[in-house]
Amino acid sequence: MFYETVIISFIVGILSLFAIGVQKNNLHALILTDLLECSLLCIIAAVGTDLAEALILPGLVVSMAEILAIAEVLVVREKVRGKKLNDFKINFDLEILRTSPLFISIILVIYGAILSGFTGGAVIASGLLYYFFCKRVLGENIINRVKWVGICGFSGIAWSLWIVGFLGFYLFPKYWLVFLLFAGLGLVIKVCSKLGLLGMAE
Amino acid sequence: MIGKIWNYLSKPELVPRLFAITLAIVFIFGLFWPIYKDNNQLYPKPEYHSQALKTPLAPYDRSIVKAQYPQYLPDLGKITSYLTPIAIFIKDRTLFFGTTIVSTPGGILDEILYYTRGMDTVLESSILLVAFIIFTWLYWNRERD
Amino acid sequence: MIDGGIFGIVPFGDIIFKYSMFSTIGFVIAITFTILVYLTKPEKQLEAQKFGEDKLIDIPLHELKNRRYMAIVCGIATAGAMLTQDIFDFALFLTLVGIANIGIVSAVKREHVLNASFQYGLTSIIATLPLFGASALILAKTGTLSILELHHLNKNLLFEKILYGLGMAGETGVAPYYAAKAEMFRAPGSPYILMIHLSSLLLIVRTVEILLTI
Repeated sequence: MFYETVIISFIVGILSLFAIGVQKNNLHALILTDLLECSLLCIIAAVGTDLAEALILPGLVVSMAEILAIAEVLVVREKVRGKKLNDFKINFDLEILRTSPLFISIILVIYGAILSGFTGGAVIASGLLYYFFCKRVLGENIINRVKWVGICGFSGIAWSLWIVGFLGFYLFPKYWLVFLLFAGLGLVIKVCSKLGLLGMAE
Repeated sequence: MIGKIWNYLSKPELVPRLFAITLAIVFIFGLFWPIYKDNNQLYPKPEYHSQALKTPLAPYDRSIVKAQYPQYLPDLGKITSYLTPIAIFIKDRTLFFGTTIVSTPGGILDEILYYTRGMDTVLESSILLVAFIIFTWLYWNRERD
Repeated sequence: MIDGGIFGIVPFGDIIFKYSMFSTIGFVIAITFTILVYLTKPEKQLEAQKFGEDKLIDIPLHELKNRRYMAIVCGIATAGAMLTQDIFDFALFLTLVGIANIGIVSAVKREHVLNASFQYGLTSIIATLPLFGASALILAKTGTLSILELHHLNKNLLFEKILYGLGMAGETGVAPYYAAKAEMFRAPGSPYILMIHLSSLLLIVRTVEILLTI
């Protein structure tokens, strides 16, 4: 199965590379790079060991992070050029948008806390995303610089907690359990706060 | 003639396109290159479905973790075997614990991510951090001159 | 091994950081320049005007801080990339350097600079495919990612090496081109831009060493 998977992801890669080479629109090129990442993940997954399964996560996060940064650069460039960007404004007035977000997000946060680890962080983040999206559609102003910087700082502390956990495994191998819990806790907070911030941004 | 080509190449928009097309041609050659998988791999997976309905941790029940340099890893295997109280509670009641997403700070993936190849994840989170700083900085300075 | 005698290793599990003759020199250079970048004050720039007086452009503090931070991250990542003995880890270091370079270039609010930054970012996203793809193919073919182990195995890895080299070229190799395109030498806050050139140079040399070793 390895050969077939790699050949198919090569073909996907070749087609999307040609597509990037041919088209003229910058935004389309950015979207097409997502397709490249798919073929990259397929090549890694084709190896099919536990190691490959663990390597998928860095590959995915790297591509996500780069697309996040580049997309913002593109937005700022268009602003500097003086183009008017289309505002994403929808005026829904559904009742469910007013009543559901708090309930669903609390359920998802509790569920995520039970799950713990990376998946737990992602579940908590999806709860926060749903909450912020609903608020935004209703037209409430949720962006606040102080709040933003606060969550950023929180996320940074979680990140350093995770680094301390990693170093602790090697410096004090006897107390591995403590550092394992450090790393697990750091990971949950890091993932959920970063994705939650994305929900707040416009 | 050459001057014209150089001038044409000096547009920054052109480099990603040329790079993409070059890569595509290299990948076309790659289709004819012998691609195979060696059977002697690190961190191997067991046979498919060999653990199903036998252990609640299936498909992540590993007795031996085969790392690259076990001599530098004093706690190898301990992180895999650690389960949180909630995980133990679920494990005692169902045979499908391994297929749920109730992850624990332990587990085979987390041993590779936190411990044996922890540096990868440190770098990966640093990349996300730097990307986030760029995003945040540009976002809050959009309106400023 | 072409990197001279070994002084010592720092093992982080499977990923080993090795201080050899070659890597120590690269490490020291990268760290020295990082400290220099941290200490230097950015230059003020005198912009010639077509009509009227020339004007002196000052750099606002918030812009300076961001760019200095990115330059320091870039320097530390370069220093780490000199030491690591694992191809996947090295690929991640390259990506970190690449994204820090984007951060340095993108902190100026001018159209041509932002355009160069965007195109560089596009190139570096495209380059992750050959970089990580080649690492995965090497892992499949040899069963290991460690450079020290790959040195002993005699397998034909020509295509994978070409892919890896191309990935490096797209990730950091083209960075000086875009830095020059953005005319960042003239742009305010020049010293940080030198980090892009230094990291690109050091990483190219290191990649050649890796590709010759495995």
